[in-house]
Amino acid sequence: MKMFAQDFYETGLLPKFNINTSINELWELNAKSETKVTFLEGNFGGYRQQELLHQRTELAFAAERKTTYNSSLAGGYLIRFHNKKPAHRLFQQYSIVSSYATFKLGHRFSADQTFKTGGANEYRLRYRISTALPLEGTQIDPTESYLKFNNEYLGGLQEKEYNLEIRALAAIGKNIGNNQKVEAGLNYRIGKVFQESVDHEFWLYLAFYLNT
Amino acid sequence: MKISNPFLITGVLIALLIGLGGPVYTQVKYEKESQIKVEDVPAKALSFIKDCHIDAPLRWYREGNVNDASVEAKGRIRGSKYSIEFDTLGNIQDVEFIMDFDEMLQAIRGKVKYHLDSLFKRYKIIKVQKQYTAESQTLQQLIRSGQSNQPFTTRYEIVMAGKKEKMMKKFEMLINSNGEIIKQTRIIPKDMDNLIY
Repeated sequence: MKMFAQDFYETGLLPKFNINTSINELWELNAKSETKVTFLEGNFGGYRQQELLHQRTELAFAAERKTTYNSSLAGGYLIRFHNKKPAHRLFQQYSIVSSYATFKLGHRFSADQTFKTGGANEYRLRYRISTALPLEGTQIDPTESYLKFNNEYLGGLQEKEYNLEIRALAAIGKNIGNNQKVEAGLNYRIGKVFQESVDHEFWLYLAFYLNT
Repeated sequence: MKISNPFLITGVLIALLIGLGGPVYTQVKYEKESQIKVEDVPAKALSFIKDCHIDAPLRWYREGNVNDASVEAKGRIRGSKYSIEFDTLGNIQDVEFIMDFDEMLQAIRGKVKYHLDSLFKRYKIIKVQKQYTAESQTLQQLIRSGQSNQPFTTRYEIVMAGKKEKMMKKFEMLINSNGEIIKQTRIIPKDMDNLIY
């Protein structure tokens, strides 16, 4: 990817906490928080600002209904705290996780609608493909480590302008028992693809998953 | 919002990750499968494989927990994926290989379909494994050539998804050589929230 002087970049920390609770065999509830803390930002023309800034925190709640043993439909609400002006988002998703001999492959198709005071509404369609590969044996057992990769494409529409964002993650994870996972890795995001000034984001990703 | 101490935040996050992860880890024993080196394989199991006279490369795995463990050799023999299971002393337990559902004898396949039709509104076969149990030498013949004139027991393990009521669930069916279901086990998929959220 060629980078231009006016292209913007951001680096920082992206911690995420995710909790899933089963209500019964069909229904689950999900709660998630994700924070962006910026260490360094600037453009490739020379401008840079090194400062630790809390950029935003998101809290999301979703209800998920299993449609088969490996697929589900979910819908929820997200609130984003950013510059004292919260944004509100509704989202809907369908996901399916396929098992192969030595790895799992997850597909997530989702749509979201974001509303904020003093700003235009944004509508997005998203597709993410994820995989988890065991570091020992042929399956990820409890207490085992694994590699995780994902790639997401986000098409957005805001004020009659289209935007494409692409995200990629490479992380190492560890199962802690049967119901907890920790992951750490690098998350790269490129926004405003096909526009004059592109956004590059490099995040140190830390995640904790709990299933109760 | 400006944050004065980045190390404090990172420290709190790491402490949360470790702190939340700790308690459950110590409470439960878990099944585990891990690849092992040939040096760690029981001599009796190695001797069994040597006497099979096959030149297929095999990978060795240890499966189970401290109370109930097994050693498995996995590899491709005569084009099929084989799994040869031993106890931890190296005594042969059974031999399995993956096959297509359509490769089952028509009479057996018909009976299996009949039983599955009566149990489920609809279903999908995911994986079929043929399983042999017999005396050691008979199993060696079966691994080497796929046939033996000595007595042996054939069973089939079928992993399938089936819908009885509200949704498709995953099951493992153990089928005998007459095509009858002798054991039905529900498979609860491991949570893969990290691939969804």
